Amino acid sequence: MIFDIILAIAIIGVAIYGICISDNIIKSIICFNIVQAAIILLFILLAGYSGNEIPIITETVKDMVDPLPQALMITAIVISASITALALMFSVKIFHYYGTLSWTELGEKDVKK
Amino acid sequence: MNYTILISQLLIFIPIVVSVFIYILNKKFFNYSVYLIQTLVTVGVAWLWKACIQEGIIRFTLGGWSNQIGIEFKIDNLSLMFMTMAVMIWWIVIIYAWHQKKSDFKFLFFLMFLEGCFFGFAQVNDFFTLFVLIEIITIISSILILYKKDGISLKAGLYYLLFNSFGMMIYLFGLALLYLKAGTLNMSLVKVYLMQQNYMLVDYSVIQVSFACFFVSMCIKAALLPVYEWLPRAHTAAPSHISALLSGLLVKSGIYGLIRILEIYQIDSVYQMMFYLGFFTAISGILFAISQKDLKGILAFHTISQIGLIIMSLASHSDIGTIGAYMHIFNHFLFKSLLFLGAGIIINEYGVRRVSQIKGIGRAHPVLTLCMLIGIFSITGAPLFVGFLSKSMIKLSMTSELHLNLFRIVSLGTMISFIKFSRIFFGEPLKNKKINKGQLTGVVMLAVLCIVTFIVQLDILPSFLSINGMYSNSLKESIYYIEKVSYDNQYVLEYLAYMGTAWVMLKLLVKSDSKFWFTIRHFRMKFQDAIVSILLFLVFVLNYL
Repeated sequence: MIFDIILAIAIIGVAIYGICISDNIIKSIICFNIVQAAIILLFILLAGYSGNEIPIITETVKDMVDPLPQALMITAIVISASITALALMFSVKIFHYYGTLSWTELGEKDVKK
Repeated sequence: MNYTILISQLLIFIPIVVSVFIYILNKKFFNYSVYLIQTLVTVGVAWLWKACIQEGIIRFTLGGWSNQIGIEFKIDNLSLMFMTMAVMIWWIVIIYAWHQKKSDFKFLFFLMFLEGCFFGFAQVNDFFTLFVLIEIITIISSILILYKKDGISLKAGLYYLLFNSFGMMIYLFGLALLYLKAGTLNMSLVKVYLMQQNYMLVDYSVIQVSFACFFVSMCIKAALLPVYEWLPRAHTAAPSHISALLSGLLVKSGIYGLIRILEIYQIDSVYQMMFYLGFFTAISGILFAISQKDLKGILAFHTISQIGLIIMSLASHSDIGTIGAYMHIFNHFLFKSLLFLGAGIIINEYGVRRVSQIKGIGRAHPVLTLCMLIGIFSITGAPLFVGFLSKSMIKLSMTSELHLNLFRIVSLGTMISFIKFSRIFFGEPLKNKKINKGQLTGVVMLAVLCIVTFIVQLDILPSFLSINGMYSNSLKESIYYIEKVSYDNQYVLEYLAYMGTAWVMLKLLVKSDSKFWFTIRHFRMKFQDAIVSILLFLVFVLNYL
């Protein structure tokens, strides 16, 4: 149990490190996606230890996993997907406009104007 | 009661559903239905006010679930205030932008969709739904920011989207930890749980980590000191009516979340830090605002300084401080949207944004100048204007002499930056074009609202507070005190003295275009550094608790 949680937190850490060092916008967006996926994984893991069986109510089920986090996380996945799509669309437009996808170069162009 | 429940849900659904029809039908005459939506929504909010004043706080759960797992709605005075603000600003934005955007069905779709989401955001009483609605608001407002589709606004939109959604990821992390401990995400139930925990003296560390996550993410939304980098970019790049919407209302959604979270967790050790956080935010906002040469840049950084002032007021952790913050949220909403819309008219007409290149607005457009002067006098806290009431309330809430002096420094700085701003009114007019009637109507409406608010605010306050049962004796005394002094000449003299000091300081400090101001003006944090600053801020808050 503790190993899974450490793994999920480690993925979050690696992805945040990726955001902090990568200069390319696309790489930042990929790292964002990984952070969000890892947080969702962590949430489901934390709630998943509460029971043993699938949360579908039949007569034999007694020790059921808490179904609420899974329902919530589906919404979170949808949000994460829409943010990724929108951010990718922005970066395509930025590339058409400036011809670069590097945060540093974009910042320099800002100062010149 | 049944009608009330129905209306509070319809407030969310009517704008969203009709906006979808606007998008699908794509007919010019159907676009006029935004006025219908606005009328219905105004009536709905008025109904909720009436119901709340009669029956107190309204609470209900959607879909017949228990409130432990369902979505609960709660309408108290804070959410009513935010809904009123939303109705006002949407009316004004639609009237202001109508001549440009009346056939632009995409713009109207996003605008009205955002309104529905905002009503949901103001009513919901559940951490996860709050998360979902904040994310939707972030997504739609980033689309509205880059509506001009030029390079700067594209960059600002991307920056805004990624920065804010990183903040919301931190929020989601805190949500996971909170759910692990409390087993529910309903705010009222979490509050009850945390109070029990407090008495039982159980290990508090996981709860504190989740509090730090919530706190930091809401600070990002509200643009406090180390994490405000998105705000000036977004506000200067967006079209003016969207800047007014962002700066007047959507920035305050962070403060709304902050108030809710502080109310629920009731961690006392955070307030001392919050005061200095607010103070440094205000000071840095003022420094940046003085250094700016861009008309909208001054206003954008000034928003940061006023947010700092609101946080300083909240940090006093008393009734008076909280009410001062509420009042200043509302008043700042009025005059900052007024100034942004006015600046938008000026920028549209002259095509330049530098303060030094704009002259003679005073003679060319007297009505616009009058309205903007009302805004400037209000924002600097002049007597007989609306900013005076909330600033006096905040002044009363300051607990020690040190805090009071820091507050005075902040209000002095506000004046310095606005003396610089007011230079555009003087001198010979360059050219004299006609302003569009609709745009001017929006600005005049806001100016009239400023005056009306000054007259009625203190009278409305008692019944507003009695919804939550917050109306205590000390509040009664301070309201009475402000009512008495608001027509006092002594304060006029004090204001004039401040103004003179600010003028002298502006001449001394800013006249030489030195290297210091140049560095500040061109200071921009890189995206990666901004993310690192969020993480450092999180570590700082965790250490502090």
